[in-house]
Amino acid sequence: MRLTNAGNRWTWTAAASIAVLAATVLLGPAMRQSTATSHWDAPATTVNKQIDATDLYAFTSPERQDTVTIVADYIPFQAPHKPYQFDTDARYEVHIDNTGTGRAAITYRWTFADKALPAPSFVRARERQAGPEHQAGPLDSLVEQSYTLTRLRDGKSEILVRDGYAAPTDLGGPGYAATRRKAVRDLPGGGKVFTGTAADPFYSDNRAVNLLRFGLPFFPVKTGVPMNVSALALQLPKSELALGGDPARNPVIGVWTTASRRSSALLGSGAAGYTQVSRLGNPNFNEVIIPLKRRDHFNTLRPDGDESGGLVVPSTLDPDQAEVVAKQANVTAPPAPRKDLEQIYLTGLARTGGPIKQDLNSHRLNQDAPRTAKAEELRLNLSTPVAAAPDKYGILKGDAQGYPNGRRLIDDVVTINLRMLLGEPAGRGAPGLIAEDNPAFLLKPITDSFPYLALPVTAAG
Amino acid sequence: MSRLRRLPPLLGCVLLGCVLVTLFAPGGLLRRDEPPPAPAGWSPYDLAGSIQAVQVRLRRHPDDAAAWASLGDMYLKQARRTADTAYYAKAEGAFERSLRRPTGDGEPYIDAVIGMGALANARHDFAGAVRWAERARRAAPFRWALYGVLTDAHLELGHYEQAETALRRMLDGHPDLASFTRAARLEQLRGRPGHARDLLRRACAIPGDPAEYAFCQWQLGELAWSTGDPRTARAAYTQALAADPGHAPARAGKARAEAALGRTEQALRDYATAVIRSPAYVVEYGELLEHLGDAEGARRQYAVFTAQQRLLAASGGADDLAAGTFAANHGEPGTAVRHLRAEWARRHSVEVADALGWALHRAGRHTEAAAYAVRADALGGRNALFAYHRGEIEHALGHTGAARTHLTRALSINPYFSPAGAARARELLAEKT
Amino acid sequence: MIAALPAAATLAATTALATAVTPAAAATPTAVVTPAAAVTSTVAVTSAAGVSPAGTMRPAAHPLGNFSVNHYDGLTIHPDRIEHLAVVDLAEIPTLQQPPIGPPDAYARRACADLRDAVRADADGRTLSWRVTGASFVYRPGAAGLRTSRLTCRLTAPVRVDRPVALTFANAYRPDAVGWREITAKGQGVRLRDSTVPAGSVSGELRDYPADLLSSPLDVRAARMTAEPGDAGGPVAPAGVPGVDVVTRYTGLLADRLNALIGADRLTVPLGMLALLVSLALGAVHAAMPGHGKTVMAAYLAGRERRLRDAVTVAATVTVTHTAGVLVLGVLVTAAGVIAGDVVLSWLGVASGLLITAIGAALLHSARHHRPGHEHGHGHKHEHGHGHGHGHGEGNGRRQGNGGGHGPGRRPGSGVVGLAVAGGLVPSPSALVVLLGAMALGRTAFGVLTVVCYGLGMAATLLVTALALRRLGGLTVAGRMRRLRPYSAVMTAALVLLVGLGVTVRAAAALV
Repeated sequence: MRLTNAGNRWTWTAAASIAVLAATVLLGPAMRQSTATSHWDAPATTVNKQIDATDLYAFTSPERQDTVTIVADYIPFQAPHKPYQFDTDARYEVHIDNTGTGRAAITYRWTFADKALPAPSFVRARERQAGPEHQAGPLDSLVEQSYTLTRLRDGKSEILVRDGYAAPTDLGGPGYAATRRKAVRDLPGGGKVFTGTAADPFYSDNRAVNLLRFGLPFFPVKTGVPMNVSALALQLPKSELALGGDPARNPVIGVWTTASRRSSALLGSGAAGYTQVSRLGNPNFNEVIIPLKRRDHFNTLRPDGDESGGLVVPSTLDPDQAEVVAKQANVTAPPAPRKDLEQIYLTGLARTGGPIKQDLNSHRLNQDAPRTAKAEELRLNLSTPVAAAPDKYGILKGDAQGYPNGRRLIDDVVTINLRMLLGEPAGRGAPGLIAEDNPAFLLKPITDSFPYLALPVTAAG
Repeated sequence: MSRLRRLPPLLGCVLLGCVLVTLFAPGGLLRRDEPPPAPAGWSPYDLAGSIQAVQVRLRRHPDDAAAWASLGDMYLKQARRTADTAYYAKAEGAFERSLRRPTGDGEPYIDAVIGMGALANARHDFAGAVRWAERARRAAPFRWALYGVLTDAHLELGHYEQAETALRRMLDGHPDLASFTRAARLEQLRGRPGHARDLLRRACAIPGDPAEYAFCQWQLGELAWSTGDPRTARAAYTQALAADPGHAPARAGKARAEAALGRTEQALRDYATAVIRSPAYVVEYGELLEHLGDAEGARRQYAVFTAQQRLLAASGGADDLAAGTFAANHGEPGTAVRHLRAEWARRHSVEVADALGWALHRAGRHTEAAAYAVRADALGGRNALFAYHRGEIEHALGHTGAARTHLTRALSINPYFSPAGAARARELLAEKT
Repeated sequence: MIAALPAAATLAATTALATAVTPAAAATPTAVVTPAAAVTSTVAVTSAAGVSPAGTMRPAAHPLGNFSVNHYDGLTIHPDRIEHLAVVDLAEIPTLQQPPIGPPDAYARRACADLRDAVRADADGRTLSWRVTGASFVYRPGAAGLRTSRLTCRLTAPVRVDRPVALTFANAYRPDAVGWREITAKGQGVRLRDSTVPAGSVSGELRDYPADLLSSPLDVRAARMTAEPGDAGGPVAPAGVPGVDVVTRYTGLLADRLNALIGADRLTVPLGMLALLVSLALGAVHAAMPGHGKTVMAAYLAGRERRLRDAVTVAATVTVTHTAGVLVLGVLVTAAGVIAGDVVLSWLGVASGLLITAIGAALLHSARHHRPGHEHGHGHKHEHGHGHGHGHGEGNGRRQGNGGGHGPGRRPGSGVVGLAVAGGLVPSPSALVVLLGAMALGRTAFGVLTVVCYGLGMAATLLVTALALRRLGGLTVAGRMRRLRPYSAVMTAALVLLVGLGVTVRAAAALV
C-alpha cells in the first residue's frame, strides 16, 4: 500500500514537473520580455489632434439676425496655458452646400503659417525649464501663427484675409481681452472672422455619451471640458450663403468642415496633393452611425459621394449602434430601415421626405434647388426665427431653431442624438432615458456677441 | 459545556478583530481613501495620465474591448518611450483581453488586431506582424495604422516592393507622422537622402507628443549622420533630447556625433547615460572605448552585451542579427555565420545581407561574402558601412580596383562611420598608392 | 499536490531557463524538489549592521525588465529621528554593468554613501543630514544563469517632532535607469498628516511586484508630509466624511468587483450568487467602517444592558433604513439627473449627525437623573449576565432602571431605534453605485436585491459587534472597570453626544 502511494506520488510529481516544464518552455517567449535591438520602431498610431475636427456649429446670429455664425473647432483637449498650433501643411475648410447636391457651393479655406519659431512649444518649454531664467509667458507667445482665409466660389478663389492674426491661448498675462479683439476681423461684404483659441463650449451628459458611443452604463453627470480648442469662426450675411443670394426663397444650407493635409510623393512618383483627413457635419455621426472599421474611411469622403458610396446611406439606414444602445438601455430601437435617421442626417426634414412630417431644413425647401441628393451635412434653415427661450433639446422639445436644424453652442447634441437614435421624433423613442434638465451646462458662459465663445480656460478658471 | 458555549462568541470576537485589522491596519487590504480623480490638467498628450485614466475605466468596465485595445497601445508606446520591454507582456495581455471580447459585428476589435501586429514587430516576429496586419486589412482596409505595421514588417523582412505598396496606400489615404517617417526610411534605403530629409522635416512639423517629436528629430539626426554630417546630426539629437531627455537612441547618436567631432569626453558621458537607459548601445560604446585604448572598459561593455544575448536566448527571443554582427567583429566568425544564416533564413533585408556577407568574409569565405555584399547594395542605399564591408571583401578577393572604389565611396558617404573601420579604410587606401 | 504547484512552477521555470543556456546540465526531477540547489550557488554577503533581507525567492524573470534599477525608500519618522530604509534592486544587466569593486561590504558602504549624497530631505525647509547605519549588498540568482543584486542601506537623520514639522523627501540616486520607484512613510510615536505616500509597500519592499495588467510600475520620486507629535500607530487618514464625492468614493476593491459582476454580459445564477455574497461582505465591511454613527451604536449598546433583542432591533432597523435610503436616493438621482447625489448625501449626513446629537443629549439628561437605578440594574445584570436567559422577560425590571429618560421606555428603547435610523440614514456610496449601475443595465430588481443584501451584511456586522461587546463588557467589567460602572451611562451619553456633533460638523463642512 505504501509502495503504491509512494509510486503514485512520484508519478504525480513527475507528471506535474513535465507539465510545468512544458508550459514554461511553450509560454516562455510570451511570458518573458525580450529587448529588441536591431529593428526600426516608429509610432504607428499617433496623437493626431492637429487635424481633428471636434465640433461644428451653425446658427443664426442672435443679435445680427441677417447673418449666420459658423464655428468649426479643431485640436481638442488643449491644456490651459499650453500653446497649440495649426498644421501649416494643411487646409482647414468650411463648406456650404446650398443646392442640396452634396457639392460645396462655397468653401472658406484657412491656411496657416508660423510667424516665429517652428519648433513645437514643448521643446522650448523644456529648454526654458533647464535654463536659469524660468519664465512663464513671453517665450510661448512667440508661437504665433498667421492665416490666410480664402473663399472658393464658382471655380474662383478670392483671398478674404491675408496675414490674419490667430489668437494664441491665454498664458495668464494681463490684457487677454485685447488679444481676442485683435483676432476678430471684418470681412469684405459685411462678415466677420475669428481664428484662435477659445474655451471648449462642448458639454454632455456622461450617461448619454457612454451609452451613445460605447454602449456602456454610466452615471448621469453633466460634464463640460475644462480645456481649450482652436476655433475657426465665421459670421456671414445670409445672402452670401443662400442659393441665388436669396435666403427667403432658398433658406436651407448644408455645412460641413474638413481638414486636408498635403501628402508626399514616394520615390519620385505618386501624387503629392492634399488629402482629406478629417470630416465633420453632424456631431457624433462618424462615431455613432459609421461602424468603427470604416470611420477613417468616412474622414476621406466628400458628401457628394455619400449617396452612391455604399457606406453612408446603408450605415444610416441600419446603424449597429442603435441595437447596442437599445439593449444596454433596455428599450427597443425602431427597426431598420431607419428612414427617420436618413431624414435627420442625410436629407434634412421636409414634410414630403420621410416619416418626420415637418418642413424644417431639407434642401427641398429651396425653391431653386434642382435635385437633392442624400449627403451627410449639418443643415440649417436660415429663415427659422431665433427662439426667445432656446431649449437645449432642440426640436425634440419643439424648439425649431435648435439641433438638428443647425447647431447652437448651447444644444445638448449628445442627448439629442441618443434620443433620435432610439426613435424620436418620428416615433415615441425613449425620451426618459436621459433625465431632462435645463438650462445648458456650460463651464464658461458664452458671450453675447461674435464669436460667442468664452475666452480660453486658464489655470485660474 | 459552558466553556464550549463561551467559545463561539469569543472566537467571533477574535475573528472580527482580525478582519478589522486586516482591512484597516496601515497597509491593510482596504484603502480608506479612494484614489484621487484624474488630475485637472490631464491631456491626451500625457501618456502616463492617459494610461491611468484607461486603467480606471477598465476597472469599472472590464468588458470594454476598445479600452483594452487602447491600453495595449499605450503600453506599447510606453515600451518604446522608456525602452522598458517589460511593457510588451502587459501590452500583449491587454490586446488579448480585447480580442477575447468581440464587438458588435462579432469580429474582434480592429485596433487590437493591429496592436498585436505592432507588438509582433517590436518583438522581431516580422512574419507574424505581416499576418496580423493582413488580417486587419481584410477586416478594415481603411484603418491606417495597420499599414504602418505592414510597412515596418515588410521593410524588416526585405520585401521592399510590398513595403512600398503599403506605404503608398498610407500616404494616399492618411498622410501623417506615421506615414512620413516610414516614407523617409524607404527613401533613405533607396539612396535618396534629400527626399528623406524633406519628409522627416514634415513629420517633425506635426507635433503629436514630445516622444513622437523626439523620434522624428532622432531620425533627422541619423540621416545627417549617415550622410557624414555629424554637426547637423548632433543638433538634431540635441533637439530630440530636449523634447524627451530619456530618449536613449538620440543619446547614443549624440555620443557618436560627439566622438566624430573630437569631443571624446562628452561622447563617453553620453554613451554611459545611453547604456543605462537601454543596453542596445553597449557594443558601440565598447568599440569606442576599445578604440581609445580602454580594453578593460570595452570588455565590460561586451560582457553586458553577451549577458543580454543570453537573457534573450533564455527567453526564446534571440536577436541573431545583433549577436552575429557582434561575433563577426569580435573574433568569432564561425558563430557569426551561424547566427546570421539563421537570420537570413527568416528575412532578406539589406542589413542582414550586409552582416552575413561581413561574417562570411571574416570566416574567410570571401566569394560567398561578395554575393551578399552585392545584395546589401542592391537597393542603392548610400550606406558607408556597407560600402566599407564591400571594399574589404573585394580587397580580400584581390580586386584592388573595386576595393578602392568601395572604400573611397565609404569615406565619401560618411568619413566617421566607425572609429576603427574608417581608420582601417584609410590605411588600406594609403597602402595601395 | 495542487497547492504545491506554484512553488514548483517558479523553481521549474528557473531550471528550465538554466537548462536552456547550459544544455550540459541534466534536468532531473530532483532538481525540481530541492530549492537549496538553486540558492547554494549564490554569493551572499551581508555586512555587519544590516539586517539580512528575508530569504524570499525572487522571480526568475525580472518583472520590470532585466535592465531595470528599482528603488524603495521606506521612511519611519520617530519623535527624534527619521529612519530611512533604502533598497535598490538591480536586475541582471545593471548588476553586470556596474560590478562591485573590492570586498562586498566595503562596496555596500560606498554605494550607501553615494545614495546618502543623492537623498534630499528637508524638515521645515532645513536640510537634514543623513548618516549611514547599515549597508548590505547581496547577489541573487537571476535569469539565464546571471545574477541580480540587492543593495540595502539604513540611514538615519535627526529631527525633532515637538510641533508639526513639514517634511519633504526625494531620492535622486541613479535617476536615469528605468524601474520601479516607491516611497513609503509611517510614523512611530508621531502622527503623519497629509502624506503624499502610503504607509505600506505594495511591492513588499521590492520582493514581490504587482503583475496586474491594470497597474503601472510606480514612479514616485519624492514625498511630502507633515509629522506632528502624537500617539503612534494612529492611521494617517481621517475617517471619510460620509459620501463627500459620490463619483470618486466608490472604487474600493470589492465594490469594483461587484460592479463588474453586475455589469457582466450574462448574469448567470452562480454569478448572481457571487454578486450577492460580495454585497453582503461589502455591507459588513461598510458597517465596520468608523464614522456613520455605527460605532456610536455599538458603544450605546455596550453601555446599556446589552440585550440580544436590542441588538437584533438595531440590526433590522439599520438594514431597513439603509435599504430604503439607498433606494430613495437612487430613484432621486436617476429621476432628477443633476440633483447631485453628493449634496443629498451630505444633507443626510447632517441629519444623521443631528439625530445622534439629540439622542446623546437625551441620554445625558436621563443618565443624570436616573443614576441609582442604573447602578442597580447593572449589578443585577452582571450576576445573571452571560450564559443564557436573555429572552426571558426578566429584563423588564431592568429596563425601568436605566432605560428611562427618553419617553415611556417602550421596548426596545426608542433611543436605540433612533440611533439605528441615524446609522442607516446615510447610504453607502458603493451601494448606491451598485444600484445605479444595475438600473442602468436594466437589472433594477437585481440591484434592489443587492442593496438588501448589503443592508443584511451591515446588520450582521452590527449584530456581531454588539454581541462581542456584550461578551467583552461582561469580561472586563469584572475587574476594576466595575468602579466606573455607575458613570458608564453618563460616559456613553457624552460619547454619543460628541460623536453626533462630530458627524454633524463633518457633514456640514462638506456642504460649504
